[in-house]
Amino acid sequence: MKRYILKRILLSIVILFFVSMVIYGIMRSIPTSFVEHKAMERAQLPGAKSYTEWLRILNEQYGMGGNVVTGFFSWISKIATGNFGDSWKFTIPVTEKFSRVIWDSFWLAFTTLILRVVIAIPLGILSARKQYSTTDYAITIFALIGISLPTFFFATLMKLFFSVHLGWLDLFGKVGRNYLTLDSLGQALDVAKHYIMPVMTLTIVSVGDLMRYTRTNMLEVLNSDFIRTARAKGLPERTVINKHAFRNTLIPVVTIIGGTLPSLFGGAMITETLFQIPGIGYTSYLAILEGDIPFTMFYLMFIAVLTLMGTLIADILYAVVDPRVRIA
Amino acid sequence: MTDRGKGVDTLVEVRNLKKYYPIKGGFLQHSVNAVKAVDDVSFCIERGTTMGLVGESGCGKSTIGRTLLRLTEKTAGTVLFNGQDLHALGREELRQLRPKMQIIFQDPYSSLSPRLPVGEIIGEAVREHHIVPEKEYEAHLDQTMSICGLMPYHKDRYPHEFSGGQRQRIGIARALALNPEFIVCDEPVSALDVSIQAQIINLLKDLQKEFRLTYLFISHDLSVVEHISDTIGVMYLGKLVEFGSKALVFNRPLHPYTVALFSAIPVPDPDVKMNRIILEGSIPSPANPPNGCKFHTRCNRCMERCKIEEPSQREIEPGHFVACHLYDGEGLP
Repeated sequence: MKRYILKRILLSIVILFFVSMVIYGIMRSIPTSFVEHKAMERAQLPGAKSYTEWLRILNEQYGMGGNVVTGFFSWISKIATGNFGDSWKFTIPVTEKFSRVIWDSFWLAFTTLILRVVIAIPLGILSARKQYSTTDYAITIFALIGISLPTFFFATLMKLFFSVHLGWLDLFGKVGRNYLTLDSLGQALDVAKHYIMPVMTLTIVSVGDLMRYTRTNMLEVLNSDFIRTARAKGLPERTVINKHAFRNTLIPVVTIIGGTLPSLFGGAMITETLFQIPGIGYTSYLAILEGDIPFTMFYLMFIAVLTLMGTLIADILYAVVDPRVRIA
Repeated sequence: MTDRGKGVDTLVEVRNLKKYYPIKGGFLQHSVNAVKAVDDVSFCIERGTTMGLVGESGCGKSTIGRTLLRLTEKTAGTVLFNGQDLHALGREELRQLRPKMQIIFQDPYSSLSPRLPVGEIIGEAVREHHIVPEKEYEAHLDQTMSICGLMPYHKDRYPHEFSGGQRQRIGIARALALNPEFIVCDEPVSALDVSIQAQIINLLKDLQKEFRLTYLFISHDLSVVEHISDTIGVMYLGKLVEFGSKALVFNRPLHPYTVALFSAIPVPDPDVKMNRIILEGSIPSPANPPNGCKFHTRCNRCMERCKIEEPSQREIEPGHFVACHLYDGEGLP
């Protein structure tokens, strides 16, 4: 098992190297160039140096003089020493900006995860217990709508309903306009209130797959012989479901949820941007728009690490549950 | 014929039981056909006796066992247990009655909850139904387990730590712990090897003697059925073609299917010339059974009439029922 995990981690490092190569190449190739933009701005100031002059100076300052290949290796050699550099847009160290915004994303994702589990698992169980009934179809349709339609669709509907028509919630932002005048409890409530719509949006789109997964696993267990045994014993239906069936459904479901844990830190770029919640997703969106290479590279590498960690955790959990996987 | 071999102390009475499984098809998933897993079956089981139910695989034996206990819902007919119509009971009433009628499943690997310790598997329902006072619970559990050849320290182990034979014993102990009157044994030994089979069968016989249990013993192994049964039912394609006491059915099988079936029992003597009747073809699909007598496609004594008219069950001699046109009218040939 130790060997297996070690092997997987080493493999992950190799994968990360190639991932960083690809995304650095893309970052250098996109038409948005931070340096050119800045040079243009500076050159337009009254009595300024020419555009080409500024471009030369700024390229030197930002270390963008060489071509893509030399740029990549100078970037990765800094990364190897743990230096992620300063963000061009935010003009502070990348890691500092990251640690300021990550918690907004985390709490958003964490609240969503809790709601997702609390809603999806009971619905999945209910759906499985009443297979092919009206309830089952209703839940399935609800789940499929959530899976199929994008976040911005729900976000827009919710804004229209709760902000425009009812006027209960603000259209966007993490805090209201009176935030600074409130006491600490009032401030916490204000933030919570602004989280309602983003969390609801993220929950609606993420409930479906977990619910379907729970349903499938539950159906499999409910059709097994030992459930028939439990019913033949004359146990109450509640005991049959909770003690005999759900316990066996729990393992694959926990494995799946375990695999999604790293994505708690991934940020929800579209939803955060739609509601202007200053999390890692929204911040990265702003950074990408201006071609902020250090911050974008950091964010994309971070996402890659999370993805690799997610699959690694899921694989380890599978291996713990099923010894046959370990050989591979 | 309404009494169907009903005696003085009948525990289980099955009347015209039917269980059809719809085959859904088409765009709207409507029922286009039905598999007649159990088709109009009637029999009685006396208290303290064993009825053996034999037939090829897929003929509906297990479905009878499960529908009889209402583990699946019937399509038509009645099942009387101690004179009570099981399929008319409410959910809670049925649940309260469950301990009285138990089932031992065929597969000891899949029929035990994999994440519960054995003590819990056996004892859980004992507590649920207050079979014994709380103080005697542990003693009752230990006693039941020792009757079935299990040790008290097995209680904390999980099913996967046991062998197939031990698991089947756990299944038996589980059923027995509820002090049942009636146990459906759904091929309880077919997943086990021969030496273990004998142990389990003898255990079941001893338990019957001690607790006056009533069994419905489902099997495709005729020697096992002969060993344990008092009455025998022979099934073919959802129908009970022959039913009677063991002595009558084994000594004078009447239905051509029973005759063919019994001719296939191996005799442990190489000098005995076996006169096997080989059945042609295979069992027809229960979704599309033949007209008339369902056995006519493979019967060596098939008559014109058999292809058109379905024979009804008749009492040919006292306590011996057959559904075959050969015995119409004049009684025994």
